[in-house]
Amino acid sequence: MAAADVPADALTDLRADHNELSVWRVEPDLANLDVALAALASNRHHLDKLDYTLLDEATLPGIPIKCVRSDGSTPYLAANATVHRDLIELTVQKVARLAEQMIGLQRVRVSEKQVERLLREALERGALDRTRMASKLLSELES
Amino acid sequence: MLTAARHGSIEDGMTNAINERLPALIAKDFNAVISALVPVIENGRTTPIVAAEVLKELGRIRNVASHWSRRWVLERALRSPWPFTRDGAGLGLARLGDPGAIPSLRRAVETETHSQTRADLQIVVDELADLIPDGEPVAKRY
Repeated sequence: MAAADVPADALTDLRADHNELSVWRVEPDLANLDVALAALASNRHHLDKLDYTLLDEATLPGIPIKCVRSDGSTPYLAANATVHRDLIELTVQKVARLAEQMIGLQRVRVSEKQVERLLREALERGALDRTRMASKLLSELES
Repeated sequence: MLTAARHGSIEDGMTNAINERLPALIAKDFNAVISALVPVIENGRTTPIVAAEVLKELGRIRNVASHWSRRWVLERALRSPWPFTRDGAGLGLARLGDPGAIPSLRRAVETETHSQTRADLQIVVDELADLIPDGEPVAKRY
């Protein structure tokens, strides 16, 4: 599918802010996948399922999209510093080409129960800064 | 509420017009609210993403009096023509946490034509089956 033919709905999850997209870099052996998922989920208002797609970062230069290390702003401070990346200097065409790359990839679902377990474990490890978490999410996890 | 939701942003795990307002409406008069919501969801008078969010929230609400009505709406929505809406119904049933919905969900898995939605509905079946405490096969109980 050419970029121009990508359905507009596919761009819904690729909403850039200041021409940047926040992403998480997962190791090839997925060793830090749960860290990235917990970081993403900890930044929400309440518990919910989480859908994700893994994109090979080797495809980015061909678009071309720059990927740079940057601090995330989630309650998972260690993840913010090590796993977070920004896709920068995005244009409409680059986002459409990114969507084109992603549209054929498998979308993986993490159920709300699994998200809850990841967050409870992260909280127990002291990995999450409670002061940065939404009060509703925190109360759901501590109930 | 639905108009506000349609014009606003709906993102997993984030506050929106539906999860802010629907719980209070259900608590006030669930019969009237559910009667109003069913045709909107079933006739496609709102977008599938809004319908799915309503269904997810119907499962999340903690209101014993409306439990059966909400389960009824969610089970009906498993037969929606829109995959996104069927997925929302599955997510609502997962949140509702009522293993009594397993037979409906199993039927939905069997007839689901959209492979991703079928896989997602199967996750719900598996999670609800895990709620049955004594390990008895689900088919015997439900």
